[in-house]
Amino acid sequence: MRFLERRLGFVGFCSFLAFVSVWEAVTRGGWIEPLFLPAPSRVLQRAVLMYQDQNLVVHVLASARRVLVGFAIAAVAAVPLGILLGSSRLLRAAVDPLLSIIRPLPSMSWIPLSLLWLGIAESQKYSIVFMGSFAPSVLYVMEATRNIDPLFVRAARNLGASRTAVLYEVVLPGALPSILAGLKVMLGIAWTTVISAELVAAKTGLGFLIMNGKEYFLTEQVLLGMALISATVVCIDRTFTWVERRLIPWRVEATR
Amino acid sequence: MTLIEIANVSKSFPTGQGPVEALRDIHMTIEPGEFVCIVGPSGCGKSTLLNMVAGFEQPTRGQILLQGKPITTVTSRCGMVFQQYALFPWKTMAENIEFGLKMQGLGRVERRERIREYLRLMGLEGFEDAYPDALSGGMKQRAAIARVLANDPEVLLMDEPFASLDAMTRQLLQEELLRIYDVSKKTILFITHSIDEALLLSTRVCVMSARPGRIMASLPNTLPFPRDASAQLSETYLRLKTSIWDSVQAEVQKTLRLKVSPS
Ligand SMILES: Nc1ncnc2c1ncn2[C@@H]1O[C@H](COP(=O)(O)OP(=O)(O)OP(=O)(O)O)[C@@H](O)[C@H]1O
Ligand SMILES: [Mg+2]
Repeated sequence: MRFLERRLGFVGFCSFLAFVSVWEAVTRGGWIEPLFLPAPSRVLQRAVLMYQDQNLVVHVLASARRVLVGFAIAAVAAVPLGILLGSSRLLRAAVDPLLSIIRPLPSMSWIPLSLLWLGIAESQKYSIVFMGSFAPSVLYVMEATRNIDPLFVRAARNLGASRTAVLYEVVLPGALPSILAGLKVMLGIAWTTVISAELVAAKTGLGFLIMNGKEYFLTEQVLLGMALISATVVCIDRTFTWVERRLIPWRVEATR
Repeated sequence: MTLIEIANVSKSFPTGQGPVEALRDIHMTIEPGEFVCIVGPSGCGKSTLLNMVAGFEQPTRGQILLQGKPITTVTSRCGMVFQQYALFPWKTMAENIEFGLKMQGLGRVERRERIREYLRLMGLEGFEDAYPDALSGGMKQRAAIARVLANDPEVLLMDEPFASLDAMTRQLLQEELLRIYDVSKKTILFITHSIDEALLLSTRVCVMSARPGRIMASLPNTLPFPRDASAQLSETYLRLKTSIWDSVQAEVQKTLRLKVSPS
């Protein structure tokens, strides 16, 4: 199993290498104008240059921090609210109309209002990420809560659990795998949100890097920004999976 | 004193096509230390009856008394063992057994001791840190029984607990249940489809009619303890089985006729 995984990982690495090589060859050969598509080596050069200026790390960290802070606030608020909504029909009836108003609004549509209220400050970026991920997260958690096998609730009550004890002893852990899966999707979406916010109004961040590159016709900087978004998202995704495994050890054991 | 009294209980469920009458006028008493098996055709309301004793549902008419007091809500004094085990997948075997004790507010030391005791009783030593999904059905049902027993309920309610196990495991668990019944002296109310299982385990067999369920017969099971599979060869066994079979068969045919008839 491990062996096979490593082999497959190697195959993936090779195909990535092949892709970069073809790209390099095509651009070096002069078939494509460097302004439209610079060679990967040029992108790398740009990366080294910006790294030496200590700019690069600043941009990556700026975007990552905005995503993580905005998303963490959204998740911390969404998980308890979603669980309560999932377990109470009355609450659901009360909050459902509000959620259906907020949910369809794309996070971009909040940018003007948030600029008006918060200016170009960091809190404005956080709020955009929050607005983009809060409502969908609540819905994910609510669905996860409602999908719990009622048999578990019966068993817990039968063993003497109060209704509140059922919430944190049964509903929360029972829904946790789907909650985490939902939050993972939301984290990906939070990234698109923050980039769109940075494209509009920011002095740092990967979105700014891309926009800035475009304005100065530095296509390699645009590509560098894009590559860094991919790399950061992959890193955060890996970390999330690692945390997920530790939070739901019973799943890991069962699938082994 | 009578432990459980089911006093003229009827139950109907509201549905789109009007109310479905599941149980009609059930009257039944269970004395402390009895092992009562209920047999009856599918859909006759056995689970409904057990769910009402557990307090999951309320009778439409009549009431169920536990030691003279009506059961109005879910109570841990009637411990339920489900056919689908209902072990919490996110808890280890030991944590599952611990659950009821924690809910009772028992201290850590005492909890640990009880967990060990019931792991030993059900032959689960060495599996305390395993998660349920990694274990076989037989192991899971053992843990589910341990979890309920550790909570020390007045009555053990079992709804076809061995129905989804393979024949060999089922026989093993039946024998273990007899052993536990012998040492714990718990009162047990047990539902099954199998007359053989009812005769092997019970001190009394109740036969239910087709829907709406009523108690048609209540036969003391005079087979001597300790019992094992060889009890099936005795004459008493055959006589009991024949009389139960006769009443069940009449009821099963009634349900079949109901299903076949075009009205
Ligand atoms: N919540 C409910 N709503 C409507 N009808 C119900 C409900 N629960 C049970 N019934 C009906 O009541 C009758 C008795 O159901 P119950 O599950 O108690 O039967 P059972 O004897 O346990 O059957 P089985 O042997 O198949 O487990 C069935 O006809 C069933 O369709
Ligand atoms: Mg049933």
